[in-house]
Amino acid sequence: MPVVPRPIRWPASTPEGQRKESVFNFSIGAERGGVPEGVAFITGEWPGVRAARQAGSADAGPTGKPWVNANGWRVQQEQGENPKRTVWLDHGAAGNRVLTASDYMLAMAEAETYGARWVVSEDAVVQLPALTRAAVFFAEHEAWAQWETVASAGVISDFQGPVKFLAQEVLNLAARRTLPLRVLTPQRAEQESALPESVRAWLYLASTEPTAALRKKLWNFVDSGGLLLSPSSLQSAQSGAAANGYQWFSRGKGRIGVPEKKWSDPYALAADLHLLLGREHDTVRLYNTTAVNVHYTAAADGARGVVQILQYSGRRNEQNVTVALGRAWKSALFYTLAGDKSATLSVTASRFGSEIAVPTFSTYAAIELEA
Amino acid sequence: MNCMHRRNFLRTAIAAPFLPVASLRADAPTAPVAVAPCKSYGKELLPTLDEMFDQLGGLERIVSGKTVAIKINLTGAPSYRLGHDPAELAHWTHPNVIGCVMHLMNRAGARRIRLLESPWNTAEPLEQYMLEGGWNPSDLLNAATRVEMENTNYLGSGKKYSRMMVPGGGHMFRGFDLNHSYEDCDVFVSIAKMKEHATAGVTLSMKNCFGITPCTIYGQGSPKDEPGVRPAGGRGPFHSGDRQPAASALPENDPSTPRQGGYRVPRIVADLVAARPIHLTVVDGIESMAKGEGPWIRGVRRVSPGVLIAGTNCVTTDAVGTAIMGFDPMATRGTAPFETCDSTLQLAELHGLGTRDLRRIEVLGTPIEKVRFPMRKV
Repeated sequence: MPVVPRPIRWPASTPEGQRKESVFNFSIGAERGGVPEGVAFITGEWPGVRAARQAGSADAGPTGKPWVNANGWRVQQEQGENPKRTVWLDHGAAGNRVLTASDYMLAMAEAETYGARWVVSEDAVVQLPALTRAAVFFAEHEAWAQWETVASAGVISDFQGPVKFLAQEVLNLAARRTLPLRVLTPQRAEQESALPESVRAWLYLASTEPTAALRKKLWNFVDSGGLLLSPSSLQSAQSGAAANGYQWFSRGKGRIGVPEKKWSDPYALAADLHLLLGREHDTVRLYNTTAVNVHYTAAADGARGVVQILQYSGRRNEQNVTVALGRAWKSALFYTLAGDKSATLSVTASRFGSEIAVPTFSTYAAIELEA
Repeated sequence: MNCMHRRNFLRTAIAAPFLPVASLRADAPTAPVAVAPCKSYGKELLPTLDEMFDQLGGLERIVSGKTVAIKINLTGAPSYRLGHDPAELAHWTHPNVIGCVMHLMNRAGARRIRLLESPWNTAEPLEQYMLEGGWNPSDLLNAATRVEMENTNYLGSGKKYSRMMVPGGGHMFRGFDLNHSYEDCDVFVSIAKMKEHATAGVTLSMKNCFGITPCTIYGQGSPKDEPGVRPAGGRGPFHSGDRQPAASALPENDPSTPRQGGYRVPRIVADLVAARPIHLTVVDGIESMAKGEGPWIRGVRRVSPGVLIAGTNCVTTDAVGTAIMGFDPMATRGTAPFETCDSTLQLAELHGLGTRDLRRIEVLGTPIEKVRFPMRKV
């Protein structure tokens, strides 16, 4: 796998020698010229807790938790279309927001967590030593970026036309519910030899009806016991009872849920996907977190995995966080971007799977797992 | 500070301690309370509870052939923990206590058991809420023959809210609009946790019932006129009095009373348990927390009192619980644990629900002195 370059916007005054020696090895200009082929450039938002108009407070989302500006879902959307494409997140101007060292660190950690690159902004170059250490850390753990999301739910969407906003916000809000998702476009879902086995519930949310080939694939998924939420029954079997705002169509061992009212609220739709699947199928749960998103991935053979935790509130430390995982793991190593060394964490077996008490951290923590 | 704010401030700060709360109602009924040491949620739990119910005259006379509604305590969001410990070791009633009580009720002939709670800020099914908190709801659904669960923080499976009136008019509300499950039952049970409470002094069987109120009507984000479809926010208005419930429900008796949690919450709790009488209480004091009711309170810590309390009168049971926690159940505002609030025990006694005078309460099983666990000294 070729190593993806790390982009940066150097200040004009940066000596050539410093540029050459830097781990940030792709200099980019304001016009984004010369971007390598295969890179998807996304203009993201500076990650963090969304500030409210009233000083000293923060907006709360419909989950009751602080509303965070996050970009992971945007990366997942791009990767859902083409997993081999490299995503570069470019956050542009920060407006009135005064950025701090932790903001720059979060921008880098967030992008790398999801297998993307952050275009280091010109003003961030003052933090270059810390950012360099972080980049080296992620380079050393490049394999993590190749692992797949451990998810029991997924979204198939082309993110086009009338469904674009709804589908994007479902990704965003599912992350706030700690509901990891696999994301596929209809084309990719059709092309893949099989839909990912771990996914027990799919949300089909595309601007067009599925092709005959994809429909067959979805039918097979439902026949084997899966749950499909779709705007139409896909010409499937007889309808059953209406419940929870859906008309239910039985098929094989599974069922298809068709909304009685057209989907419009992404918060409600993300909740429907989560609850109709059932929390018993959760793959990860977090305790004592607030402005946190988690990205849980594992190698294809299931022997190794990593839980990466991003803390969006910047200055404060996360304390007494517990990560619960829906399967057994034998050992865990803890990393932050502040420390040089990893620390061994104790993994406690639980009825859910395993639990890990996470030491205090700020901005970013990773727990590398071995089965 | 403008004039209005200043006036409110003065009324709250100065007048509240002197608001007339009659000292004692001598004719309030009494009932025995069973107390037993129990150090764990393991094998000893079931026989201990069984013996306690026997001491109270047996569960059969209370639940046989009846639909039983049990209010449990799952306060706060399910993602909250005190340290890394599961919520049931600190601020939630332990599922083993709930399961054992259900098992014994089933054996005693309960026709149907419905577990009730109004979980924080959500209309999600109670089962899903429990899963998020790390419980397996199947354990409880299988603890008796016919078990149901209902999230009572909104209309739920009912067609309309049940209006339950406070006999005599109430300290703060004449009546409440509640989820149908609180009316559609023959027997109402409160399974509570033994904890201190930052606003009300103690959390026992009565304070547990603060959570029977639906936030679609009484919550911070409830609509002005009609109940909301989903709960939005917590019960802040009950604490602060900064707004009235949705206009479909009965308003406060007197909106000019102090807008202070220590004044309001004990009165609302006393009104609630008068409107929705409790037939049986079980207090889980095996593992708990001191200094507050949840991990969100500063300075709280885990404690292990190792005690169970049960009774058929919520006031007598809570009086014994208060004494076990190291406080005087006869204490009034200004004295621990009611330094900044009125006593729910006193206010419930004034409703004629039960006595808090230990001299009039028969303690069965283990004497209070043998299990006393002074929360603030341990």
